[in-house]
Amino acid sequence: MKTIRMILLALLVFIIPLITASCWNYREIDKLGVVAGVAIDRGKDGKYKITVEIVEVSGGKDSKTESRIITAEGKTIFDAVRNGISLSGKRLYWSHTKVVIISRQLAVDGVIQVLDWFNRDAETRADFHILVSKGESAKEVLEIGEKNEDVKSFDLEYMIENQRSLSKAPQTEIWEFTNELAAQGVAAVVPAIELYKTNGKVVPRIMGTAIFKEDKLLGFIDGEETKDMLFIQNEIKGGLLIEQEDGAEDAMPSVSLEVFNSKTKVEPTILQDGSIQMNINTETIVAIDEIGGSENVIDEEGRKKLEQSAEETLKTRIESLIKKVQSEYGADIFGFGAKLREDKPKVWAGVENRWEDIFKNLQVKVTTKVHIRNSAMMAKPLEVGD
Amino acid sequence: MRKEQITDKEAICTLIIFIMGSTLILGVGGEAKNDAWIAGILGIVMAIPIILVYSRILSLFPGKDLYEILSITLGKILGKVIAVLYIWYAFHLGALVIRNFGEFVNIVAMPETPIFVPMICLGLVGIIAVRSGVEVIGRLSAYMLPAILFIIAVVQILVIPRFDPSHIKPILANGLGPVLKGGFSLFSFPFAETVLFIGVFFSLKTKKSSYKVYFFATIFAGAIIVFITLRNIAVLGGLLGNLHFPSHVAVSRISIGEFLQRIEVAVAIVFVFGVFIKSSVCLFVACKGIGRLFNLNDYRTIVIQTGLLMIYFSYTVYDSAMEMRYWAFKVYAYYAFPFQVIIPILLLVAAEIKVRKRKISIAAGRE
Repeated sequence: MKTIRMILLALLVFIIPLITASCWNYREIDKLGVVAGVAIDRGKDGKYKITVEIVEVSGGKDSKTESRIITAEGKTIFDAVRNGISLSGKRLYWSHTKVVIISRQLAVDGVIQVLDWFNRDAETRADFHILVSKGESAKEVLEIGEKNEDVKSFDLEYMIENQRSLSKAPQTEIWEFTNELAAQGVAAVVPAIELYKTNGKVVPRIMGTAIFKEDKLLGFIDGEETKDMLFIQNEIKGGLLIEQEDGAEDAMPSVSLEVFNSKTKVEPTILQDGSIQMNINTETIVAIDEIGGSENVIDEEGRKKLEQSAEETLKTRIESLIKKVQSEYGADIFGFGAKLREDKPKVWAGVENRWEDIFKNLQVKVTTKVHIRNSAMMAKPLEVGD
Repeated sequence: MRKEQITDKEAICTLIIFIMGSTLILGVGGEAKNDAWIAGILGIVMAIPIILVYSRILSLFPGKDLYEILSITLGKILGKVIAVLYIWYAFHLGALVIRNFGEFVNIVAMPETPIFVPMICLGLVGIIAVRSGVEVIGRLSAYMLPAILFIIAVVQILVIPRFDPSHIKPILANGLGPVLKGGFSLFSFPFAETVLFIGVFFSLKTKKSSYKVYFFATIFAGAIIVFITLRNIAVLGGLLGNLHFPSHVAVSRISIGEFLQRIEVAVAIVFVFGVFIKSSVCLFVACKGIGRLFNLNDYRTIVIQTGLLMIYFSYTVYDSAMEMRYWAFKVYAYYAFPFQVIIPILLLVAAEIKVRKRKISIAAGRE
């Protein structure tokens, strides 16, 4: 009896490792092609052409990180991804991807297929940044150009993340794009990337915004306008407000104001004639960080004048951006419709179907408030003696 | 045979985990979109009358399990017929729960591993637990619930940076219809599934405990479900209804600094444990019923057979994940309605009559 028990126990001990070690698809890290970034272009005959940057880590004493670029084509995104195996020999691994660059042509045709795959596949994570290439090709952004880091895609990620103190491009992760696509009354925006020549070198530059309607690209707005857009969207985390000398008699000197905090509230109201008006109230806290003259803009009187003039500038800029977007694109990138839907669902239900037309003629009332908090290290402007 | 007994606390913990079980990962109230949390509250409100019925049945027959109650009140033959129905329900529900787990692991973590492997792993552990008896399941739950709550609370806090409160507005924009529908589907999955606990709570100590256990556990688990639904809405917005496993995706959005991210698989532990308890309870009730049906001395002799059958059945019950979703959200509420509402109410009526009669006859006997 006892021996039978022992035999059974031994058998059990042998069986347990077989059951518990359920590594059907065990993969070593050096057998994986870890994808850092990917550029997606239109290939021939409506195919997708994907260019992936693969991180290669070589271990040992002087471990190095390098990157390698592979281009594959396929009828769908996933087809192209799997075709990559025949070029790299490794199965691409998508959990550590940082950026996706979509070519302009593809964006104009529609990006829903790209979004779907990245959201649907279990290996990809929907939290990486999406970019639209301003130039024709997305591939060259990854291929050409200098790198600061070992891996180009990591560079791009830093560029996007540090926009918080520049505010000239939005930050859009894939899932945000997907949410905006699904949401009513809001159009998606994506940062734009281009190749830029400086000091005789070509570097990628992230600046400006690509405007989408549904999943199709409509056009771009530049960096400065992007900042105004971020003001309306309440997405400003930092950046500068510039007061420029305009040559008038009692003009201010050029001043740089650094934004520390900004809050924007958008409230829809219904006017007496039944039309909809958006009230945009923005409150910004700034500091004087640069003064291009010796006029005193720091004392009470000068400060007030500076605040007023900054408020005025911001107001005109916001208004002109809204006008531009209304007339040129007609895509509700500010999410006015979504706001209306949240606050006044009944009104929204009435205008939902013709929101595009209504948005184009929507009235806005902009109120800006700029508060100067300090003047950095110096209490007074520089004095210019003779 | 020694009588099995569990304390009220253990019973509450088991019931809470049972209710949260698969709901945590499958998500609820998809029809109601951003009002799903209201559907959750509605589900609790709808569930309260029916758990009163369950507790009343239990308190009329202290120490008796579902099948004994059935044969006492409905007589031998009808009692056995209804018993077969409940055995089927418990068996089927257990299989569905195991399949949910299998699909989850298969889609999220191990797409190339055959779905049978995670299911048989879970099923074997469930068999061991059921063979050990209801006391062991109760004690396990009492140990694990604090850990589960801790994980849920931590995740809830970590995900706050990803909140977008505007996703919750507008409240009730689509009217009450979808919310009522969502509330009903929440009522049947998971709240009224607790009907199976009539087959477990024979082991409670006192007559009154069943009320306390049912109430406390339903409210508590309901509150957690509402909170988690709110979180999922605030994080996922319009994407919510399109996902198989919304909680998993919501948690995957957590990214604190560069280092605290990708914790969703760790969070799946909560789900694994919930599913384990739920399928074990189902298996227990099914085995108990089969034991009574064939007048076995001890239900333990048939646990392994039933358990293995349950695993095989769960393997064949759905053809695909799409079918699972269709069944869980479209069909299940109607399929389960007789088991959850109609039979218990009829049973209660019969039981009340029986008890009154007995009292009268006892009183008559005294005279």
